[in-house]
Amino acid sequence: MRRDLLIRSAALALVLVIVAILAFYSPMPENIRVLLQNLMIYIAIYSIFVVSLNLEVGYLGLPQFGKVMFLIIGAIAVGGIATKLVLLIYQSYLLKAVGIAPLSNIGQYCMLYQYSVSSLVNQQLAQNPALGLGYFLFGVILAMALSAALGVIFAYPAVRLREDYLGILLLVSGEFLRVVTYYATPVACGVNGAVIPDPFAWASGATRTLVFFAVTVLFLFATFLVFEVVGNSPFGRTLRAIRDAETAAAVFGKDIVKFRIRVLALASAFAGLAGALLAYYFDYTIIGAYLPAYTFIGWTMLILGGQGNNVGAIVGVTVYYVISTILNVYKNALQAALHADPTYLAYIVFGLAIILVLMYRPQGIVPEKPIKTIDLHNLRRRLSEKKD
Amino acid sequence: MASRTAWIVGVVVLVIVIAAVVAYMASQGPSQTTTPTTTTKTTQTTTQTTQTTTQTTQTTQTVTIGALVPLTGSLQFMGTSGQCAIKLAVQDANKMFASKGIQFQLVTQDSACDPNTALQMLQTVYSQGIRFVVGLTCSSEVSAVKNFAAQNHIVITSISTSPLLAVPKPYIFRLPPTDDAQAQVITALMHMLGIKKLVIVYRSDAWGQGLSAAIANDSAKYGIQVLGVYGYDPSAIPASEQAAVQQASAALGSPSPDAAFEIVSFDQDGAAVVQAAMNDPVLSKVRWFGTDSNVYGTAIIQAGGQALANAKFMGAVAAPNPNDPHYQQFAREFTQFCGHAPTGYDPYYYDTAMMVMEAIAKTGSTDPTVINSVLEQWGKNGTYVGVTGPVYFDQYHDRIYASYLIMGVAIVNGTPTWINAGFYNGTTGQITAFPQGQSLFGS
Repeated sequence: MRRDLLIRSAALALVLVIVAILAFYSPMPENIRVLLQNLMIYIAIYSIFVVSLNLEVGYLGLPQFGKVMFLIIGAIAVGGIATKLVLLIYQSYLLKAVGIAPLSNIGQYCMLYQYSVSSLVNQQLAQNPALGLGYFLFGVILAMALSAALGVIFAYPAVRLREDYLGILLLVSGEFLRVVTYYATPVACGVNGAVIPDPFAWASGATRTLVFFAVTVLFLFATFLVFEVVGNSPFGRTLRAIRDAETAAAVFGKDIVKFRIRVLALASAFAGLAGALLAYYFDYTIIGAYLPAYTFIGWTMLILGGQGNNVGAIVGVTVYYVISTILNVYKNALQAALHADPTYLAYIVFGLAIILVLMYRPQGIVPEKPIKTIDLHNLRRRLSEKKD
Repeated sequence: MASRTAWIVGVVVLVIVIAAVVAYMASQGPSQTTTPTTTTKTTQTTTQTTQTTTQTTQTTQTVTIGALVPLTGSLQFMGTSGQCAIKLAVQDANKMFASKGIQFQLVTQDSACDPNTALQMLQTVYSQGIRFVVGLTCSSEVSAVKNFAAQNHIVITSISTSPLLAVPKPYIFRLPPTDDAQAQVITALMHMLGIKKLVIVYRSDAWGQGLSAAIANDSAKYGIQVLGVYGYDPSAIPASEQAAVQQASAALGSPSPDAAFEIVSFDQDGAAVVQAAMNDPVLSKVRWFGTDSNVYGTAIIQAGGQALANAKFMGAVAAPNPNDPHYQQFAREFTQFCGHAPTGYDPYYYDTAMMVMEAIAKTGSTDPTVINSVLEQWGKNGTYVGVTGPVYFDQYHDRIYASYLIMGVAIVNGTPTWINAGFYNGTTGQITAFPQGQSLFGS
């Protein structure tokens, strides 16, 4: 099992390194390299998101229809809380420079001064990379902690109920959080959206992209390791047992509710991490944009890639983005050839792909494999060898 | 077994990525191509029956521009019409600049009014070698693409109007004036009509919040007392609108000739506001005002055309003088090309594309840095005169001195109809009532 984990991790690391070299140091034209660089960042962030969804859906069979909620929490942690902390640190400087204290009149700041303030804060952060890193890590950790806590709190009322009730509650929770926070200016500048100071302001241009790519890939790798270990541990095997035969697992003494809560907390924390990374990547976030479609895009990726294994989740994200980008690039040419409006082409293609996958390959591109555990005979032998 | 799978998967992923990149690169040509395509053969006959044949080879340079417009999402109604205006601009430019040997092509992507999608689409068109992108609509999209555009030197012309973006934004130009300018026009119109008390109902988004705040601020300059400003959630039609209207009615208290009701809405949600207000005993007896996003609306006029006419509803939309022959020609061409008359922002969508294409054609350069400087220079001098009039930019690349058309609803042949009621001259600040709009300006 440990050997398999090492091989999978090494394979992922190898792929990431090759792609990084391809994206940043290959002699490709600049415009293609820029596309590839940014595409890799999206893939890395969404891989974290979908790997966490996989623990809930693929391993435990939880109907997680409110996954977008954690992208929102990540956005709030970064755009609403970490940003305000930085504004607080530079409050006196900002008061002198632009004549306003952003935190004392948040409405005016959100509507008129965000860019001028953010530009000044970026200048300061550029001179103080350590503070920038602290601000980045604070946002990320806060997003994870808040997501874990709120994930459990929102799901708690229905966590004992049947799957369909829980699914609906999670879906509603995501929308509830979006609508409430979108219209509350103090949260993350509400309808104006929050302009986020750049934690890597010391790097500019392609260097900034490289730094962000490296950080994101590092987080992806860590996420993969964590979820591989969890998924292949006794805990992970119990999750599969609950998924496959809930009553049987309960009969064997497994507390279904406790397992659901633990999974929700862990998976939500990492989805919150994806939300925070997304917010830092864009330097801007507007909560109203996080519609339930984000949840179902995650589901699409997972269905295509294969549920119940983390490699499948990452493959699903990659396949989705590659197809999506190719469609975007070629859809204008297709329009000329087919004389049809290509606006909904991606929806048609992915809709069709989901139907075909569910009909002919429900296990996805990378099917789930039985977990390799040491058989009882070998285990007893090793134990006896140790005793000797 | 599992390890073998992992390796296979890893290789497959890598192959997919590499294959996609290679296929993509192989199919890519630069977006600006120069090809000798046109051969003109001229035969001249002289009186001495001598024939001279000259052959001229002319090169045609193809320049691809990108359009990022919301073809899905909440502003789909604007994006689809705007896309048509941009296509018309490309067609016109190809006619106008054919003699210069320049041919423009258009690549359109759906930005969905979603900042995340907008940035991804901008990166996609950038990868296609496109350095000129037009039509970006939502302010949140402009916020998301701002840094990428500056970093990669992509010239963007947008129709975003949020005052939040009145900041330095290299390579981004906004063709309509910001909402602050619209607020000035609306409050000047109210002042002209003797309004002293005002209640405002607005859709709770960045646009609605910004515009209603600007109207409230400018009202104070004219001594107009704002008795209440109430937002509604546009996704919760019609309950949210009804609640806001009730609050506004309560704040106004009783109707009077110097009281007014300002509706800061789009078309569909505006219809819900109108339906609630037309049955309200207070609001149904005062003047109503609108914005650039609900005038020309079909839903709003269907919902309460008669009530709008009774309330002498007027709203301002940044537009050239409708009697301007340049605009009239555009309106005719647009109607013929798109199958309907141009609405609110269509002339601006047209100019976002035409201004850039004209700069490229006149300078002969496809270098975005050069075009950025040219647009800045043109914006200082008002060199470019589009269908929306002469274009001047301030230091933030935002439009200034824009004129506004004042639209109203009147009963024409027994049917509530949008009419051109008046005109606000952006240069002089004067409001002129057109003959057909006199009844709306009267008490």
